[in-house]
Amino acid sequence: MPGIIFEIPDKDGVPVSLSESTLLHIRWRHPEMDNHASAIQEVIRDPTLITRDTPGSLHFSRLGATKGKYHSLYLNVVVRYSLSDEGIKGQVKTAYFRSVPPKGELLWMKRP
Amino acid sequence: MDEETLRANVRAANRNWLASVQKQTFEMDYDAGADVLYASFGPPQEAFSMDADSNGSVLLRIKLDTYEIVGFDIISLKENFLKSSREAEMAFRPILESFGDGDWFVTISPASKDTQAIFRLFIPKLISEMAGDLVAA
Repeated sequence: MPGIIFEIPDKDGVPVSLSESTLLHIRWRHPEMDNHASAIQEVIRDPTLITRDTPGSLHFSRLGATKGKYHSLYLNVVVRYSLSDEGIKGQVKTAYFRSVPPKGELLWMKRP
Repeated sequence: MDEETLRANVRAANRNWLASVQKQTFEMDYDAGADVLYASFGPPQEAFSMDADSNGSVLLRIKLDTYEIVGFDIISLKENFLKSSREAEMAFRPILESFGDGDWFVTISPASKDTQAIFRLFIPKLISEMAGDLVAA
């Protein structure tokens, strides 16, 4: 698909895409995210927790999703879901590291 | 690190934040497709994020080694954030009207005038209000 970096199923099988344009914004404005597109995919596929703060958007988080100096932080990926003719689809809004889990309603947590 | 320690570190590193940030040029980059605003004081720097508000729509960007606040992001700028604050909506309106519906990028220097000058004053105030005791004038 033109302009799409990836489209992968989330933990529940709903397709989530990352556009080329959004990845450029993420890499430019969050330089620490450079070269972490594959980690973003991994967090969507296999998060350790999922939270919701605003309607329609979910936060997928995973501790230690990357190597290096951000290893001890959570990689957080914000995904907006919307209904289209093809069904429910997700779109990555942004991604960043955070030191504590996101606030909001806890929807799911991976059992250790 | 627990949240209390993190907040103490950020507080200690940003004692003169408001005065210092008002002397800097700041950059804003809007991703229209995702409805996310990225802002930095100076060029973007590596950082991690922490919530500035209770619902996670405004994130402070914190430098990993110094805990200095180097920027902020607003998630769902038009969809949620501007609808929640009339003051924010008024401050953003001239900029949003001048750039239209697509992506935009703007650099606002301390010498900026007119609407950009208003914006310059508004943004640090907004962030300092949201960050509460994390930053001080």
